[in-house]
Amino acid sequence: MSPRRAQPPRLSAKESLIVELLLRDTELYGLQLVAASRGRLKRGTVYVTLGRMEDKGFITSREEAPPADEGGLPRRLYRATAFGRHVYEAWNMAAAHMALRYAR
Amino acid sequence: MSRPGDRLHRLATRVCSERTRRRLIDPAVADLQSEFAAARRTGSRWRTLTTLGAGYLSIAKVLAIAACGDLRDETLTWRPEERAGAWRGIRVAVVTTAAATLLFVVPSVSGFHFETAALDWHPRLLDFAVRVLLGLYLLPSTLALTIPLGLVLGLAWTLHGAVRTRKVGVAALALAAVCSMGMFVNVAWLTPEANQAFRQVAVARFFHWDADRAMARGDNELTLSAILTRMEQARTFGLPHTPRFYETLYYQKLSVTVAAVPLVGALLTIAFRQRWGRWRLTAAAIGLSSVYYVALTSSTYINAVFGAPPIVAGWSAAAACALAAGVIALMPRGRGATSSPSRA
Repeated sequence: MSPRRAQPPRLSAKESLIVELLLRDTELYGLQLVAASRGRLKRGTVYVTLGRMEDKGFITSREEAPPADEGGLPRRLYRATAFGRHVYEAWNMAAAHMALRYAR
Repeated sequence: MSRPGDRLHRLATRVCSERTRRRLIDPAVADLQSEFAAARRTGSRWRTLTTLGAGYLSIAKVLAIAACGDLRDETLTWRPEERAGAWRGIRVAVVTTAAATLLFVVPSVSGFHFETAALDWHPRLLDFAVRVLLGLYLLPSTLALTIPLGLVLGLAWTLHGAVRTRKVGVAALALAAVCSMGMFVNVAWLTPEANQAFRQVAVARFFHWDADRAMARGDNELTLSAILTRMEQARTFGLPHTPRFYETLYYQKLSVTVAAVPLVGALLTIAFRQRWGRWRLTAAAIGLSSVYYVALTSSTYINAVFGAPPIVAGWSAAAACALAAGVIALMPRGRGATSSPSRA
């Protein structure tokens, strides 16, 4: 029996879009990502996707300083990691290669 | 001053883990509060309201997803002592079910003797083979009683000390629900057919009945739909008491199918309330099962003698079980109580 191979990292369409947006704008809030996606990301699921991507190591986050005037919770800013960028580029390269080779 | 999302945030602290709250809920609430403040600064009441509505909806959605994820993680992550306790309970449940089943089945078929010179078989071998066949036919009806009994006794051996956790309780209830679904299939279709086959074989051997002739079905050989049909027929013919009898029988059979759920629920109530040890819980499990099945078998009499409505008489076993559990749960905690965490 052959030994189990390590699974290559996978990037879903939503995850790919989030990395693309973060590579374009460096650091964004969850709602800013929703606004920048022009309807392709939903505000009800974006935080879950971001949490999952953070677990996979594609993005990282930090808390902003708490707002001084109105109080409330500090917002969380997300940015793509070097690993996330590499996976995104590799994924796009593979997609472009497949499109060239198997396009009809 | 209360800010938008504060209540949902407080709810999240109750239903989600700390990690999930910090990663998923806090950013959503923070974005809502920030967006709400920006909308209020514009002075547009409409924009403020729509921001609030959309924000609350999105946080509720995140909260639901996060709570489901946490529940899944909590359910799948078992501590070693919980795992050991659950395996101990499963072993006890399997052994008890097997022993009780044998105890019911073996005496029932041991009274039959089928020694015959028919065929080329050795008479004793044929006798044994027919007894085994009859025992197999009795299995579905017996398992309908012994599986809930085994489950509740297994639970009594699990739910004490450090294993008395909410997770184990939820797992036991889920198992009882699955068990009840299986029992429904058993009582509704399998048991009537197996009982009828038992009668056919037993009577054919005893009275030299022609095995190919179909016998009329008794009350224990009726499927649920057949009971309803007989009830309708009795109503059509204007028989005064028969429809009530069949209606009670119908609810009685339903009560047999769900037996595991009220029994497990009652034992969980006692275990978490009284915090008894293994032996006291075992006694409680036996007591509850006895109450349940005595009430179950008397439900037709309750209906006939006291004139109780069929639905009340049919479900009286579950009510008696809940009452017994309630009485024990409300009793002051005695010396047998042990302290333990009630939540994983």
